[in-house]
Amino acid sequence: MSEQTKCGNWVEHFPGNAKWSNAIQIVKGMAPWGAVSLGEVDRVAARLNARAGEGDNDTAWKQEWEAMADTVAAAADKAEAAGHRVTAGDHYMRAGNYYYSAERMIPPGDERLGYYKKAIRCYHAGIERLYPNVEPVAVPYQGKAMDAFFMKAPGVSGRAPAVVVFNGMDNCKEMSVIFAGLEFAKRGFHTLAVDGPGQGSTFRLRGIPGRFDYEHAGTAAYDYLAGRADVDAGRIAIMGYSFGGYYAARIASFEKRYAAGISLSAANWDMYTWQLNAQKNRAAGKPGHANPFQWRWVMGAKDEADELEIARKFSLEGVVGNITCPYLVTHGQNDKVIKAEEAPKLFDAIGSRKKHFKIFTAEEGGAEHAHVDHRQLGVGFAADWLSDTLAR
Amino acid sequence: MANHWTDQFGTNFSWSNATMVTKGMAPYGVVALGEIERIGEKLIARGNDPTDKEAWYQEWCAMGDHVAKLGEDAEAKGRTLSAGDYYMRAGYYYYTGERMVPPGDIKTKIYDKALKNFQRGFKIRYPKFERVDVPYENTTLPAYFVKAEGVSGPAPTVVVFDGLDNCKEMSSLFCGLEFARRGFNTLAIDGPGQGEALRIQKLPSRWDYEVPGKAAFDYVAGRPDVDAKQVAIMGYSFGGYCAPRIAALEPRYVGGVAFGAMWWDMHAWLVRSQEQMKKGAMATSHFQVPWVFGVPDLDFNKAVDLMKKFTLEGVAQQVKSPFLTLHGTNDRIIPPGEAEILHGKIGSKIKTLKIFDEIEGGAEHCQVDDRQAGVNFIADWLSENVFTGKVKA
Repeated sequence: MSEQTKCGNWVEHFPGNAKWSNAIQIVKGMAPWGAVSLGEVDRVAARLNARAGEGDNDTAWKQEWEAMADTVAAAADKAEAAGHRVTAGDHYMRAGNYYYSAERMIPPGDERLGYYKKAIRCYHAGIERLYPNVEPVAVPYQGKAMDAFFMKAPGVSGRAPAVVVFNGMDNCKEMSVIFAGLEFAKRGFHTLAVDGPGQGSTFRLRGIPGRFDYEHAGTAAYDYLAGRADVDAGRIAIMGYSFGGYYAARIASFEKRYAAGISLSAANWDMYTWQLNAQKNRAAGKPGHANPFQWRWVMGAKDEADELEIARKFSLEGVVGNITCPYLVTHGQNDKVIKAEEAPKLFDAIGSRKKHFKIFTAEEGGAEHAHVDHRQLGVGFAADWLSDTLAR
Repeated sequence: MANHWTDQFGTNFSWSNATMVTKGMAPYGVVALGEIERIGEKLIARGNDPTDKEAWYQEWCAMGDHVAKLGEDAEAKGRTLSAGDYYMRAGYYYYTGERMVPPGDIKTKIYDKALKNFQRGFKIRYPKFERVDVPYENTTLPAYFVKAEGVSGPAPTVVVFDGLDNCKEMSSLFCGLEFARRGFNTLAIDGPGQGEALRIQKLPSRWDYEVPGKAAFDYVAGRPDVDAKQVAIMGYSFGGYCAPRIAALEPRYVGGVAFGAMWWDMHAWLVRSQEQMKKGAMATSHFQVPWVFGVPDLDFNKAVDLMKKFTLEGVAQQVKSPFLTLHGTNDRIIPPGEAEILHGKIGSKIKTLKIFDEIEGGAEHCQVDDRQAGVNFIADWLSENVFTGKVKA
């Protein structure tokens, strides 16, 4: 009947362009919460494909996402002016995700910051209107602060268990408070979705870069939650997704007050070699999943030598053996950003007596990076594991 | 390059359309696009042939079986909420598989599985949705009543009828969840010829849809949480025929919405359909119309005759309450010109025609490609034009 050989583009929207396919998958991963519109995403992609012949493709990326974001943000402002607060909230939420997507390919600098500010305005206007149980908070951190969202579990009285969620290299609390927070809330857990050092607005607006010794951020988040009257300080879990799979394991190794930990996908075990290879690929003009400037920017490295020096410190060798709380490591079998073979290296080194390992296969879904192709499956699994682990 | 979102099976519109209906549930987290794509890959490998009904139902049901089993495994481990997610997805996959199967044992068995999974899924994931039986003639119609959020006392209410091949398990989410946020109740009902009412109770559709329309009104008006002076009627897809008819003949409804207009001349439509079906160019299966309308022996010629009664001529003119008609510029089942005809004939002083285009999104049939855009528009319009009393936003 037809010549068609492939059915879809869910995990590979731009064949041959891993960076874009990965970036658009992150946007599409928000679909189950109605926070993006797949029709709009498809239209952006169609325009990008039409511009495939242009030399500087990342300029096209920025412009097309911005164009869609502008349209949707204008619809939001219009709905708001007409008194349609809920509709405005939906539009703002989508515009936030589209602006944030535009931002990710722009090299660090004033232009990038401008895009981020637009994303934040829309994200926050959306969350405020759609999720009144989400409270923006500033978590005290070494004389400064980390920006976070606290999502209160509905219908719980007294002190409830809570989960601290840190992002990875290029995500944000405005995603995790939705995809993790809503599901955790259903189980009766509060969520503190944090932009830690090197992440989201804590990095972009407060200028706090990433660090290898993330236990400082982890301890600050713990102290904040333990001081809240609605949190059970004996049942606070730490979770990180994507590159945050490193942060969570590092935190659990040093901040023993956390009752459980989750790496929602492991990071590369040998970060030094990973960055060394990234440099070699860059020199050879070989594109990767990440932007070439990302590591240097997020970690505040001066030059290539400094990039490697910092990467060397990001080692969990001899660290995660100190983890004693129950710990879960998940990974996707087809993870193209961090190979599945990295995950057992982390898992095996973890010192906990109670630890679990879960690989999501292509057959069951969630097989991509940090389960972004089926976020509900990954988060649902983590939530079930937490329910079992933190049960009294 | 084909647009994967709306045309997953390329030129095979029948399959693309049926898949789009299921993908339209993605914003509510009740289907997994990765799973749908895996089904699609198998269907493409089996030839992507719209006349191959076996391939269609076998692949959708295989995924339904797989996911339902995972749900049962999760439930056995006490992972109830995850089980609920699996059951919901299994329900939609079975229901999608079922739609291409001619009436008979296989169809019945698949629907039974769909309903079982819907029911256990809704019970876990949407415990506040109330499964109700609406008294209708000497039987009842199955419905979900979705209560307005954060409202005390009687609230405005929308009665939603389905189309030819949808179900209350879709509308209770895509309308019910959104309307609840606005402070409206929703009665998502399988009317005669729809969903469970047709499949389990064998109640065929009828041209005089005001009868089930009145039954639904009587039911909601009797509930203490419903403000009987603020009840609107809405239908989507084929329900775009039902809603104007009900609004015209049951004036206790204070507003109406055709979420997608139906063909103005349904008789002429079926005459044309008969020709197109021979070419395999239809979104709907050949048995669908005779089956839904209870035509003996599924005789298409008799269905064509029956359609003469399905006319809004002289009826739409009697609608007096505010009325909204929505349509998409790229609706390939019913062209947007039909919406203009319906809108023109509606007798109300306050009436709105909203056509979604491809720039705005929601350009497809009943805005299935961006359901939220359509439902948000409806909710805003109802707040402004119909529920002008007490509503949240």
